[in-house]
Amino acid sequence: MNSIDAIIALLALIAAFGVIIAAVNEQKTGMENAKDSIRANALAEKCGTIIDSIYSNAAKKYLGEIKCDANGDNVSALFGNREKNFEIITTAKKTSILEVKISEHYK
Amino acid sequence: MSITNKRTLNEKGIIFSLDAGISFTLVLIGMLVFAYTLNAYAESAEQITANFELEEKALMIADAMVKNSNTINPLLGACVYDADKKRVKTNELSSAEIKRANFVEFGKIFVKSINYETTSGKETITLTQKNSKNCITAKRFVLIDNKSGLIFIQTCREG
Repeated sequence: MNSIDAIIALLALIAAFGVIIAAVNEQKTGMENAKDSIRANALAEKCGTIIDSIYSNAAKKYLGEIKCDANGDNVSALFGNREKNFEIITTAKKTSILEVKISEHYK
Repeated sequence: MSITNKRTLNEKGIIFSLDAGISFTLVLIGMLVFAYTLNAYAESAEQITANFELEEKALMIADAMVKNSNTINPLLGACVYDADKKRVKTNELSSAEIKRANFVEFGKIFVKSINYETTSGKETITLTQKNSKNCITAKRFVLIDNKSGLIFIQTCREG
């Protein structure tokens, strides 16, 4: 009887460890997704801010690197398996270069 | 094994099981608290990025308005165009252009109203009556119809 009790207790212990390990793994996956999401969002916001600033200041060109896609009135950034969008105040297109529609300052 | 020894062993077993049960419950409660804390951090990060987006739009729209000339929507450029010099005069706005500003939405963010005050008086242009929350007002010193004044552009999040 005591041996059966011990085996049941051991199985319960192993099951409880299993639950804890599964929960920790789930949290790890969730954290990684959240981290990717936040980074993608920050990247999209950075790109959107650069493009909005190019429009606001009627800038001629931007020489920095842009690590997101721009098509029409929103930009999208990908980090890991997460993609985030950011609406911009003008329209832009990213091919090999970044084209931003601006109002001409000198006409 | 005598009856007394057996009882003592059973009692020890019960105490061990209770200890183990309490320990696991504490570990699970700890993990739950940890999960709630992480969730709170994630929500706070989301709120920060949402606020950043609103602030960014408020500032960029205000800058666009006082630095550009946009004939389609003066909300994004209400500056006077100097035909002689063939250039846009930054920070010099025309009241007629400001009044022509149209309502535009950028995702869930929009400009709700434009106010300006000069030595001639105050004017309010309401672009929409939509419900809003977390409004931010960007202020710029400008010349409106050649009179110095202030323009306030109120940008809000849909709510």
